Amino acid sequence: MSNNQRTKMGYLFLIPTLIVFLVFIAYPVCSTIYLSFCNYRTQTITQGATFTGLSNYIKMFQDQEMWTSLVFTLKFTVVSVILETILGMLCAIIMNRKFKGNGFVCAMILIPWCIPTIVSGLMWSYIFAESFGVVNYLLSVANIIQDPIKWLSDGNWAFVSVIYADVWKTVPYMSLLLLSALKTVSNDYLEAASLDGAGKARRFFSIVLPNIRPVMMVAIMFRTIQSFRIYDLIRVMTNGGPQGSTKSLTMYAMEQYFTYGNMGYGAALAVLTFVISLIIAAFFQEGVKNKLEV
Amino acid sequence: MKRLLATFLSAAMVASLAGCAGSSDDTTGASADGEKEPVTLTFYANPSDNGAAAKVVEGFEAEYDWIDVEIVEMPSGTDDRKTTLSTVFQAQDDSIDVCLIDCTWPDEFIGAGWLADMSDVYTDEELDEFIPSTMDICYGDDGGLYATPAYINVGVLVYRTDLLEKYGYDGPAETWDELIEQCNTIVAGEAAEGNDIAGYTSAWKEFEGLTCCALEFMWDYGAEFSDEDGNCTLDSAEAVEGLTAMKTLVDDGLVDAGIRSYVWTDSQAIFNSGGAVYMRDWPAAYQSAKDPENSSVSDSVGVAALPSGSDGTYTTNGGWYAAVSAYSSHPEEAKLFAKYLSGYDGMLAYATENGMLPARLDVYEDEALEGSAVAELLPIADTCKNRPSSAYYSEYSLIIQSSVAEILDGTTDVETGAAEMTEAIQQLMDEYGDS
Amino acid sequence: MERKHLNRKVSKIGMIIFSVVFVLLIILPFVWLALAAFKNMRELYASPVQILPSSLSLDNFIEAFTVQPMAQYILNSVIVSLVSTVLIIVIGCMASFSLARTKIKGKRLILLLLLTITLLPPITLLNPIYLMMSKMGLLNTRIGLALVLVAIELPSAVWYLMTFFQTIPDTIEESAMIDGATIPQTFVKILLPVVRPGIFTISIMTFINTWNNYIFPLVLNPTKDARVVTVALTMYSGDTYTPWNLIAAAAIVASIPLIIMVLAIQKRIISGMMDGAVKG
Repeated sequence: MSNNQRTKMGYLFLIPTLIVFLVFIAYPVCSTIYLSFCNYRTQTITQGATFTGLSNYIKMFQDQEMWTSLVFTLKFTVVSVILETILGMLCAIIMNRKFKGNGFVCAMILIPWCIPTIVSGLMWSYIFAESFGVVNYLLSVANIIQDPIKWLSDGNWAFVSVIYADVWKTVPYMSLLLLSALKTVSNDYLEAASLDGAGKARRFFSIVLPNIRPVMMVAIMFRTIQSFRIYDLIRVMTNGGPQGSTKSLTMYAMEQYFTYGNMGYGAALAVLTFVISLIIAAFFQEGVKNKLEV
Repeated sequence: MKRLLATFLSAAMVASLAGCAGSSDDTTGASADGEKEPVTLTFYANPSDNGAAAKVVEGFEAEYDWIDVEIVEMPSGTDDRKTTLSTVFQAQDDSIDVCLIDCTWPDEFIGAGWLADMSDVYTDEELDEFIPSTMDICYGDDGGLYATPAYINVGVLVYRTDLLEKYGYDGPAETWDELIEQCNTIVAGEAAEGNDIAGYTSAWKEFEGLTCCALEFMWDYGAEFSDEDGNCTLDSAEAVEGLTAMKTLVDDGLVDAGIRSYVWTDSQAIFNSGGAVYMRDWPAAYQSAKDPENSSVSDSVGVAALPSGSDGTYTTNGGWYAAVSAYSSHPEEAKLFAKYLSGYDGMLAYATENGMLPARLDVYEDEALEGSAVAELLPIADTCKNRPSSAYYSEYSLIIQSSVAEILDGTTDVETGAAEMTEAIQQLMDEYGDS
Repeated sequence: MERKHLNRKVSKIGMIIFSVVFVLLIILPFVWLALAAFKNMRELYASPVQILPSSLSLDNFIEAFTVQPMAQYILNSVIVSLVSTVLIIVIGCMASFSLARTKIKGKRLILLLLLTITLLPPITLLNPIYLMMSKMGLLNTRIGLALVLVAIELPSAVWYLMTFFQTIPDTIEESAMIDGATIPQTFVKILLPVVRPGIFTISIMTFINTWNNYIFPLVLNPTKDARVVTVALTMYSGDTYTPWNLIAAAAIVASIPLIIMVLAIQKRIISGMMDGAVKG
């Protein structure tokens, strides 16, 4: 079969995806970008959107609240993605071992992911509640603490709680994808390396890791992008508090867009999220690039 | 689906008209109704209302037999409801005919042109039947009537009768000073018996609830959100006094440790498990505290008006209002339903089924409510006060929340916090030309 | 030799202890959720904390299912997630085949363009998508919601599937070609079976993600006929009151279809990528 025909077939196979893209994505994305250059809010919606150039962006860079939420979001993203990658890898290794009850353990590890975010947010605020939460109760019964820890009403602890809740929910995602990648590592390689006297750690870093790198990179990329847009969990658990210390960029955009009805500015914040995520994606794409040139 | 339904209905209408024409001779007085074309309205109602909306619809459909009302439950969070409604309205979609809106939204929704003027279905006498303070927020700049209360909600003080008795108090505190003094005594007394208890609990997480509570404190000492010239006056001496009273509760260690992360349901949890002497919450919380299924203190719970400051006692109107969509394809019928919802029977249904307070004083005297918690709350309902009425209110509210949070957490002192809050709000008011 | 043996034993025990603690940390919150489903409101918030419910009555489960037609909502969710997962896998496999294994131009651009929907906060998509669905008459339909979710979840599926398609050695495909198979034939008969474990993984991922989506069904499908589980779960709450026990009961029942699906599919993942290659 000629290469030419193969390429044609390649384009053909892309058509359904492009249709989905054109129908559902192109218009919303363009309209968001357009709105971000407009003054458009519900209070004056009868006058329609008026083009105001860069004014939303200028306002945005002078907006203290935007910077606070951006810093929080970046901190949150870095910490949670690192934690869930490490823990997800550990889970994947456990799941990949052959032992009695493996199926049960796998299912258990995946359970947190099956609980809708809204419910798990409620669950964590119930667990972390200062005076009737089970965590503080257990800690005080074990005599570890005297006064209740302010899991949700102290800025630093709130950060810890939100991270914990997010990692709990997303480790399963990571571990499932890493597991599927681990399955592609041939046992022959590992055995050969083991015969050469390579230790466990060396085998992991020199054989397993390079093999699972493409999937891992894509998984980390998507997790980074998703954490960067964290919203539901935080809204239920802290609603951005205390004192805005856990307000994420998406939450701020949402607040502007729907609560304040300031859709132009909300769109500008969304575009900011978009651009930062695009940079993240481009950065990770370098990681899978060599494969793309095949 | 809707379109399909509409086709069916219009087909049915043609058929019924044909039927009417054929038998017009033997129909008498009822013919007026028979000739009406059947209409289906969609009513976006609040969820989990114990069947109140369904009861209203039942009563309405019995009275107007050519109109069908389909209830669509909105999400449970106020913000999610706003997201849903504003998305539908922005699409200028006709899927909403009548909806319930929060009492802080009318200005914004009217300004956006999303609501229909209902003044043509009301006479002045009918409008006089509502509690006057609940009606201030219903009118647009053009004088049109765009919303009417379906039910109101007011802040109440729920308290433990047994604890007050134990420490020799005849009744609940009537002023904030008294409340602070009582709480100090009781908390210390209980602590001496090894009983860890909070004096006061409420929902002070950074959400709308904190704004309500903070405004009540400030109003109680005579502060107002803005003066006649439309300048924000939340930095007045009265406002500072109110916020100081609020802060004292924290400084004296009288509030529950987690109060800054609680929403209403958490605060109720504390009170119902016997963890607090006083609770500022809504009437539904009082009903839940008296229910042995929910509460371990069910037989020693009382309710009273919120304590007063130097200027009296005010309570936030947390009501939900009936409004008709400007994009409704059946505006006449929709207005009829909205009027019924805000009428005597509609309010009675919300009161009997879900314990919601009517916005008409005469409903409280209905015999169906005799001896109920709703009837008990009549004197408080009369003191309700609206949050600042502005299309930009939600933005001001967020500023109030974050400033009050800083004050309560001790990041800043009361005067500075109040001044910064006022400055931030004033800046926005100037920018928006809002007064 | 002795010492090495001992070391290995210690590390094995350490590994087991670590695994157990780790798995417990993951499960305990879920157990707490399950216990909540059996408590009444008084027990839920008792002070001091009451760990076990006083009875194992199913009242909350019964109430949760009578207050709202949860069974109907679970069915709606299953239909929506199933339809969108199948569509995503079909469309996604085709796209990732052409991105990973053919020499078409502009691969990186297509991949980045696809990402745009993943990169924008979903809120900004709500208004335009609502408008579109309203114009197409697809509001309050399960199929309409499924289509929107296809658009939302397709990009990540394509990205992952692509990496799986890349791992297939060229020799497998070449030998099929020599036998005279056409490209669609090799795609269906040779390549798909090889990446099957990957497809199952992505199916689980897509199914769970579409199931858990909240904001789109919230706005697009508000009526009872078309409501899905995630939205319904929040509707037990009143204006100022959250019946946590009912929500817990409903959430647990609602997660059963997901757990069954995960259990069924993950066995096939465990069977391994290379097994698939051999069979293929």
